[in-house]
Amino acid sequence: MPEIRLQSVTKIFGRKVEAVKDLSFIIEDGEYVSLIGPSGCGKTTTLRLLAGTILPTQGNIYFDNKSVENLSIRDRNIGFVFQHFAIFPHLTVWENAAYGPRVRGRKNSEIDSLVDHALKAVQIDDKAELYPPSLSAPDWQKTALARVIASEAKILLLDEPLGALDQKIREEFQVFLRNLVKKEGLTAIHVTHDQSEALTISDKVAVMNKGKLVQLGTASDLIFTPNNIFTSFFVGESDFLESVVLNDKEDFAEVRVGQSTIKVKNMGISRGRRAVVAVRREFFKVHKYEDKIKTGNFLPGVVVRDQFLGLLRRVRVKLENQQIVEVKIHAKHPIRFKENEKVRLVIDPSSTRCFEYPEEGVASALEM
Amino acid sequence: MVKVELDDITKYYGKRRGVENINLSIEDGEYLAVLGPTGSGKTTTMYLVAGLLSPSKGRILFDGEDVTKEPSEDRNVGFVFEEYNLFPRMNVESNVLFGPTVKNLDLSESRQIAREMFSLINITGKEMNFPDEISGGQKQRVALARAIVSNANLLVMDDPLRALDAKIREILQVELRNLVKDLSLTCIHATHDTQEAMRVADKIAVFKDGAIVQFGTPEEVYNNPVSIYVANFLGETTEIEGIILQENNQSFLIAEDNKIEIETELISGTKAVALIPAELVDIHSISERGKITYDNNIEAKIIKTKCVGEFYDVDLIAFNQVIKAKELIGKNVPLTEGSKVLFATDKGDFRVFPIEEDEKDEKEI
Repeated sequence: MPEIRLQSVTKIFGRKVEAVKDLSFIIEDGEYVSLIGPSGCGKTTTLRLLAGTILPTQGNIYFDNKSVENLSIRDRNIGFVFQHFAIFPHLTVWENAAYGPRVRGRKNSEIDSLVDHALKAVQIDDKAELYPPSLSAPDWQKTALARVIASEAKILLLDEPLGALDQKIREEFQVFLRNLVKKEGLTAIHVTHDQSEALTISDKVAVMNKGKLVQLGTASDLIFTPNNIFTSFFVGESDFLESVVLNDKEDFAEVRVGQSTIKVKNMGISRGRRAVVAVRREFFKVHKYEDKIKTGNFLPGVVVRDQFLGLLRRVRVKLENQQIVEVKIHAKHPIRFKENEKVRLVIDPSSTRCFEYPEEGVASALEM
Repeated sequence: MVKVELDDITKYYGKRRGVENINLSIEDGEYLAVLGPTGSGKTTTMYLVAGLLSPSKGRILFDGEDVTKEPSEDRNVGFVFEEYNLFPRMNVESNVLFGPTVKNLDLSESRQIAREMFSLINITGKEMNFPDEISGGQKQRVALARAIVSNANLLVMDDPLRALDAKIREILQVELRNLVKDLSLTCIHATHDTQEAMRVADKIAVFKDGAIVQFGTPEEVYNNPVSIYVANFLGETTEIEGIILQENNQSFLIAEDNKIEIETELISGTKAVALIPAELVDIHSISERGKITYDNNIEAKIIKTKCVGEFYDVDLIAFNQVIKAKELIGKNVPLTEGSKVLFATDKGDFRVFPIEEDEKDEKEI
């Protein structure tokens, strides 16, 4: 159960392709961490650096405070599971699992007990004598996991392990996988493009973009208290209001958005500075303009479209500054909004985030 | 801008059925989503419309004119595939101008259109890049531009966003619809993703085993699924089995000892299943009993909650069965595991289907 530490790790491919840049983070002993981010963000490179299949250009990786610089792949005590089941089709499930201890030269009696334990742990002991081609997709992945466990690996690296499974099976497998990792006391790092998978399965999620770590936190941190504009954008859906800070004294700062002044979470941006207010689309409330509302904390706008999607409704609203924002509301919300109808978008200040305006502009900061 | 009609189209691959007796009409400027799982006949339909396959039987009409025998290149159809299919050795601009070049259209005019296209699809600045130098989302934008730039008035897209990450998919869904509407194209878009279909389309055709099982606006299809299959394909539901009771002009489902008000024309005594979509199950605290105005308020216990981003997925136990609920985040609802709550629904939320008693017997025969 090792702790993993990356210290200022940079990997440059060829002369100039910086796949990861100055990456530093700690994964604690026994923790399940997912890496998410747009394609090309460096998540798979990070996994390969941990595995030792590639070496950092700069920086260092430590397992339990020991540098792994000179540790070969074999000696890193790592198990790898890929999307496309890398198991031996000509070996039975049992023989696949026995591969690790066998190449390490363990005694037959030891191999027996390691494999038996591994097959039981992944609940595939009843299929020990079968060959992979006769197994289902989830059983292929179970076989791959059994091989990792039998090899006594303490770190499990997973690259889109559920990518080839159907949605329903995928959700069941998520629960199974997390329980397995916890029971076997592994430290797991899981790369996925599926956010809800990452949020469900892990203790913490690392959001990456353009080779950098953007935020590492629990699911709840990323959803409710993102600490930067990219996390707000990438995890779920938010709109970004460009604004200027008018008052930075209270718990809620006052900012000007277009012609309106609203209160938002005070996140330490000083008066007179430009800011970007991030509001999750579930957190806006939309009211007809003439409705009596108890709060003055709103932005006026006109409805562009009220779209019914079954699961929910999306109301697109054009603000006075011509920006179009979107509100997610319950499918059964009592009011149907008409096109061009005047509305007020009520904002609960405690549900907002207020970030420093990015030097490169909002669009560039959100570029993936 | 073209009206497209499929008149009793059947396509067999040897003995294997692709699609059978497809009747479909897509109005001029309409955006149709073809929704169904893998193997339901979506791709076959797309290929037939584009002329990449010819039907075993039936006719295809564009603006009333029979084009069944016309080759693909004469149909003015822009096609976007799941796998982009860009020419790897041509840069973005050459890829987009490929159509006009081989069709001998006026290149300077085409280049002008392409330039407008690049800004419309947010790809300006990448014209000289090669396909392997741009992201998946950008590749699909280029493929889209290429499909549209050579005067296509019908856009056919076969699961165009499938290979992309969720975030890009969500952005492109909005962009796609806006683009199609801005250019007044007729569009057919196949997808296996219900939310995507609802997000982009004016109409949805639900496919199953090579046939259309339901057709209508997203709202019609969602509110009145014709079968359990369609209801389950549209989203996560819980099935509650019981017996129908008609009483004082009200309809009920008797499940265990509970009387759930529903809407149905089935007669009393019929064995039925009521499906409730997870997002229509509202959760309220027990103390709100009497203050909320739902047709049904049933006591339930929360056994599991997890936050998956925009929703909380909640499992409730009521009358000895698990009920799935989805609550948008941001709503103040008590979601502590183990706590007792009200499971609130309206009669119109249930999709009610009779349980065919003799179904089992038939299978046995």
